[in-house]
Amino acid sequence: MSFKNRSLLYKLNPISFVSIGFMLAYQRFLSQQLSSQCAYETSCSEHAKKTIERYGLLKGLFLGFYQLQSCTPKTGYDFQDHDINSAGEIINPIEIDED
Amino acid sequence: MKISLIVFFLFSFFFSVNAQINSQFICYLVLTNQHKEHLTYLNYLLENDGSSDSLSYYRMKYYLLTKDYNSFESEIKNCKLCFNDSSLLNYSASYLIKSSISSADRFWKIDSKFGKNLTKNSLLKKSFDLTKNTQDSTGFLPYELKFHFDEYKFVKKKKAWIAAGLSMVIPGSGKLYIGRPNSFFGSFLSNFLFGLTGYESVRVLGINNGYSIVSLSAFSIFYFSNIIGVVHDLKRIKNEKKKHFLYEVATYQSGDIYLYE
Repeated sequence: MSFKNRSLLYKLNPISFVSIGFMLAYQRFLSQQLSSQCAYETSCSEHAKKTIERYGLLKGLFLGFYQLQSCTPKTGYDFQDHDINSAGEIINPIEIDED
Repeated sequence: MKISLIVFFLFSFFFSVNAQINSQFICYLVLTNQHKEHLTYLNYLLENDGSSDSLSYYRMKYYLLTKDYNSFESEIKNCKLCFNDSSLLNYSASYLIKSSISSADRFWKIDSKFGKNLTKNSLLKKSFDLTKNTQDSTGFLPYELKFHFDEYKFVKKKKAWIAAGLSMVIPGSGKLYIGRPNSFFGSFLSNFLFGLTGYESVRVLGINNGYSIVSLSAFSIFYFSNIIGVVHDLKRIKNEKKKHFLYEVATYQSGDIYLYE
């Protein structure tokens, strides 16, 4: 089910908001000082923010951490050419399009 | 003679003849990328001469060209002429499948319901059916496409519960199973280190200690995220391989067809 079709209670879940707020604070104040080099097109915190929005707190957080532990310099070799963008980063879509 | 003349005048009075559609002009507009003018011309014909089968044919082509798939679907239902043009139907299916598989599936259903089901034996439709039953014969597939199908078939066989089970036993091994060997060490090492920290803190400080609770929580998050993530990743890989295979078939099928001659 897409985010648009979810109930209002789901969309306004305060726990999800707080988690996304934490991610935002991390991106604003900590991430810039760490000067990280992401293997993915979307950074782990950005990915976690989007997955929480899309799948809810629990699954979203787990998927965010999954990307975090998959992020190694060699991860790119596991993907096909069409999954890599021009900058050499892995394109990692949030949604599995059932299409 | 007189009767036939009267009948002719009566017919010409009751049934107004549609003005001819200037196909060369439409081709010119398409080649020069004047899509706005193209639509204005089609709308002008619709307003002045009313709806007709040949106009629906051109309108359908226009919506296909501009990727307006909803209008395309509603237009094709009114176009009997379109269902006789097998190359146009196959081109449409190839075009649609590149944007969304479900829209192509809807299109085939429309063809079987409103048309003559000419696309039934097309390469793309057969390949689409093959993705549902991978055990069916692949004899109709050209050599270039067999490789992509074999890739998809190989991935489709993989089971999510096996990937999850392997990740439970040895964190990261599910990644080896689903075909992500290079990220195995990242998962294994992070889980091993967090697990070791948790174990040591419980052994030395006890389970009620704050540090032990934090360490075990961190380990749990990494451990479960690896299991859930690997299942999600496998689903994504399967979906992408299917899309890639059908994309290749669509490109192969529509390679020598042009929407506007």
